[in-house]
Amino acid sequence: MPAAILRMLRRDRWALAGAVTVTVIGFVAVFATLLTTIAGHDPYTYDSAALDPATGQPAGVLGGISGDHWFGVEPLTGRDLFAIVVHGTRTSFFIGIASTVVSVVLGVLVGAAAGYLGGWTDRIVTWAVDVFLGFPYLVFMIAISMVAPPEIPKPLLLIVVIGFFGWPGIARIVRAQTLTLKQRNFVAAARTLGAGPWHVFRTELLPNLWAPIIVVATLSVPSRIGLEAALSFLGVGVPVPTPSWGRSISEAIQWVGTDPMLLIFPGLALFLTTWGFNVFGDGLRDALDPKSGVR
Amino acid sequence: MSLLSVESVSVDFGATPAVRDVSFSLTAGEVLAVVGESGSGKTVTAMSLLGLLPGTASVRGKAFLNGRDLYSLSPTELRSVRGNEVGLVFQEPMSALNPVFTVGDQIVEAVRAHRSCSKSEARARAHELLGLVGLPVARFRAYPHEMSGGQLQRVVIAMAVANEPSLLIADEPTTALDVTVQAEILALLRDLRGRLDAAILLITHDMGVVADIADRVVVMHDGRVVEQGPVFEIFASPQEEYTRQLLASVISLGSAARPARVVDTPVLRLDSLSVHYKKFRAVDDVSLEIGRGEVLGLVGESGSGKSTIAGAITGLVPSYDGTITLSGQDISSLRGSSLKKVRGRIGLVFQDPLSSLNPRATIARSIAQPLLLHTSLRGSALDQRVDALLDAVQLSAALRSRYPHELSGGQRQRVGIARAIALDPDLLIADEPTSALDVSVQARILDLFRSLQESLKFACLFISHDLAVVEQLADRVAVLHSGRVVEQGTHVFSAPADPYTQRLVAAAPVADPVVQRARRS
Repeated sequence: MPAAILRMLRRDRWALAGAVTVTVIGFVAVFATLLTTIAGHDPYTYDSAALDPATGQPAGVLGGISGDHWFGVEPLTGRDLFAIVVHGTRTSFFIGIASTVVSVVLGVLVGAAAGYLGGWTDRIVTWAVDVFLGFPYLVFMIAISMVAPPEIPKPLLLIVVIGFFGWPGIARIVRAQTLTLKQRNFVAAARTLGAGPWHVFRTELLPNLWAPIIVVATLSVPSRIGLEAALSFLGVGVPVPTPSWGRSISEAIQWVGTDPMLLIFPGLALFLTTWGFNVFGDGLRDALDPKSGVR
Repeated sequence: MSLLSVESVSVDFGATPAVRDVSFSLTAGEVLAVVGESGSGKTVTAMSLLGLLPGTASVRGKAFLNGRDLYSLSPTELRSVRGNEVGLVFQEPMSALNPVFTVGDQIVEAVRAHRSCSKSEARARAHELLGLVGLPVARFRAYPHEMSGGQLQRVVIAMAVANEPSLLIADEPTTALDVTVQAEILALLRDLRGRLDAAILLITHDMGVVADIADRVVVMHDGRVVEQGPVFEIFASPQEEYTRQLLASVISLGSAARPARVVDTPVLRLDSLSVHYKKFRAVDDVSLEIGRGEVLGLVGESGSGKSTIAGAITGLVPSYDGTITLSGQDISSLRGSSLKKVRGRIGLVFQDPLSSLNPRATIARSIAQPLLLHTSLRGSALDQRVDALLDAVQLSAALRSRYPHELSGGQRQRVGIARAIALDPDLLIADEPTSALDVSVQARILDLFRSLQESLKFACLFISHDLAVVEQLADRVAVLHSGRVVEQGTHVFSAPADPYTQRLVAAAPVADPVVQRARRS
């Protein structure tokens, strides 16, 4: 499989661009503190010196972009926008990937169990998937975030809630794949030797499920990052003052007339991340799909 | 003057040559059989004539049909050739027909594709065609899923001859069919050739079919023509070494004679085994016995219940009536770990070796699986046992870290056999183990089977639709028809008593044109 991915990256320029983007943004997320130290600002400190004392607007052109403040500053507070976007990357990336892991683990276990065991297990799972896919989950998530006790850390709550609502799509794909694998004789061979369901899952099904799982997971990361941004935009995401793209965008809306750069930088970061994951995921699908003939 | 003349045709897929410098010709009313094993380029050659190869193929050479070079035709001209001057019969009749239209409508469609005639004229022609291929006119309204494989192949043939083509290309037309049905389809093709005066280009790997119907034979190997000539000469005195090998590996019924073995205690006993699917009785009151070191051949056509019996023994078919006793233990009463223990005493070899090996597991991992499940062998002791098993099936230990797609069909089946004998089983069940393989590979796999069986002395249930293969290996034979054992014993092929067995034996093709033609008349 790694060989197939390398071959794909060499052939498919767009997927390569996506992979590079994702890697760069991943680095930014991991080394956020280091980067902002180099830039000389953290996302929390107010800096009235960077503001125009008369209006509270950033001093200078383009939202106060300067050698000191690379992306400019926030109006009224003077906080460094570069530091906010960089630290927001960490929040978005972490929540996006962790919630994907939650959905993948749930989806694979439930989907494979439904496909392999069949019968009532399958009926209940398919029924639950249909219900969850039609569920107004955004409303539900907002409600949960409102009523959840404050002792639970918000990022953890977001990961669990976003992850939990993501499993049905993955379970559906894994179930379909398991149903076709079950027809293959190597699964029958293991069963006739007395192998139990867990053994069959681990040694026969899972190695053949990796390719679709990786593709679906990669393609679902951006929608989760978007969901976190949406929740933060609506004010039920990560709490103030933790930087988040969604809340940055939400706050920038009221300044868009006077300071458009405030909207453009976090928006661009969100766009680049979702674009990178999508293009890379598409490339992966082409490379790992058995139907494309490359294995 | 010849109807079709193929002159030094070569086909490449990218840099890989598939067909090299192939020439042959065909006159009206003649049946030319192109034979060869998989990968010999026989199908590629035939498909190139109608421009049906994928876009990556590049074709050189010339192929004249009635004086026109087929390779120089434009796509529009080629479409008027297909189905009009040349009819095509496929291997899988079920996939060649559209499941949502009636077969009648599809024949009408085939007629109207090349003729400007009214709907009623086309319907009349379709009725006539149904009669021509020996189907009742009432079947006009039937959908493909309502018909048997043999009937569907008749429909496909009716569509192929709808516009009275001068050439009929038949690509393995009987491979997916049972022997008795195969005999009927071959009789139909012979009859049509006589009535329509069409030439038939028959592509097949089955020497029995060649002997039955061909006038002349082209033998292909590795993309080249090895030898060609009249059918009687090729079979009586093949000139080339490859042709001789190919003919030698064909096994015919009546070529094996072996003394009956003395059987002591039975390893496997089935007592009035029945399996139902809803109302359908797949297996109906079957009682069998296999002794230690004995090979019981189970023969029957598709749908006779052979594989269901194997499934009941191995646990793939969960519910059945009657009792299955393995080495004195009633399997149906066992649960949990004692059931798992019994499973380890049964080895299973599947028909399609590619599907029976996990594509993402190495050969060593596949062979080690039963050992990991049932023994405490680990580490280097396990590796040694796997190497010993690879050696037992005559595979190099260097293959242990390969993946199934890197192996040939014969090698894969050897891996399947190694896995089945890993635990030194009491009973080995082989479900059509050679029917997905080429004849020369089949012969070697059967040799391996026989030597393993003699050294390991397992009882063996050998399931096959191929009577000749079963006769080679089996000490005793049971014939299955519609879920019932109609006849069993050592005499079944030499002196069949049951009318169904007699039909089966009579339909089995013999790879000898003289014998085959004598049987027909």
